Amino acid sequence: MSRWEVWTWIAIAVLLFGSIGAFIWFLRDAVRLFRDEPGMGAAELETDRCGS
Amino acid sequence: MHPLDLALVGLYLIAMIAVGALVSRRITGFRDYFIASGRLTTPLLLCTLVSTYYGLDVLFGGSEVSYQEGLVAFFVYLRPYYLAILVAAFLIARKLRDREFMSLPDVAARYYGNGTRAVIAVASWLYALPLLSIMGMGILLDIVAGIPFAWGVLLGATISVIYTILGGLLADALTDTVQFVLMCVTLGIAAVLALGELGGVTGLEASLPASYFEPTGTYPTWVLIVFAGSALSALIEPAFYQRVFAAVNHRAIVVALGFSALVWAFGSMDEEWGTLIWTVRLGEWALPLWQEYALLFALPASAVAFGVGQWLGRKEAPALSGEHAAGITPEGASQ
Repeated sequence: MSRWEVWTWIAIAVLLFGSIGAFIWFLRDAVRLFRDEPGMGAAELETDRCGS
Repeated sequence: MHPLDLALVGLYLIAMIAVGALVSRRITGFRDYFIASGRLTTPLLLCTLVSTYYGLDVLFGGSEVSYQEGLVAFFVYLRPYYLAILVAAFLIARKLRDREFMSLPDVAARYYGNGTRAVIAVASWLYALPLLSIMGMGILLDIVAGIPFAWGVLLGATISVIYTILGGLLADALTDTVQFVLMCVTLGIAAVLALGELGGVTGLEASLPASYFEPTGTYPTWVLIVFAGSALSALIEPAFYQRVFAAVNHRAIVVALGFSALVWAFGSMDEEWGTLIWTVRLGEWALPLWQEYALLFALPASAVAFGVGQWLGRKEAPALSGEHAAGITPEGASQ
């Protein structure tokens, strides 16, 4: 198997499973966002800025 | 297309507007509308960044270069762009986020005054005009649904405008996420199907000139420098800065851009293979495959790269109207 072949299958795996994983991650945050849960608002942004 | 296919496309378009309407109820001011009040977390940023940058311009331009020259498109045309974005994320984003900016014109005003702000605002507007994307939607609707180009452009632009006006950046980010998943998954599936049909990368290597697999192709050095240099446009990309200012914190930006670079790199690689496959087999089995999987290809704009760029720009241009072919030539598409 050539290096291009290996690279390509890795690329496909990352693309498929990475995107699905990111989407699951997104769903969690989207639900929190719409519920206005702590850690998802502008107040946290300010805290983060002050702390950083 | 089968009526069920059209129904699904229609459902998708309606869902986009529904997202805009849903988000609009939560908009309480301009900051909320324009930068989602700084609420975009890592996954939201990741999805919207990938979708925003993985647009039709990159795909048509990148596909055309890979069609003509091979993997140089990935190594010299696309990869520098991702590197420039990472540089911006690490070196510029934190400094800009320390102030209450909402856009590039705000930054210009802070450091150079209101005159510069006006110039940058006009330049940003011109830069951000989604002309190619809107044309892409028109072409896509023409191909998959038989809607005349002009009406397709109008329909696509209207739907995009509606959900953006209703829900602002947050609605855009949410719809970007749907496009991100469809784009990546369909691109991955298409790559598996196409490579399997052709005997893998080994089959491609046997069918194409060796120069197609050279990182610098056959372009003269000055062309490569121009290609790589065009990546600097990432540093003045309004959409990038809007998302930087919309991020919940700097860490979210860095993590999201790191993941985005990974997806861009691998996605671009699959896109390049896809284009090379079409180069080899166009007209033999690729077109039937395209038609069979038209719905999969139709929704995410990026998947158009799996042939439409080649198809319209090269082989099949006479079969379509002149304005279509002229509108998506790589020269027009790359900027």
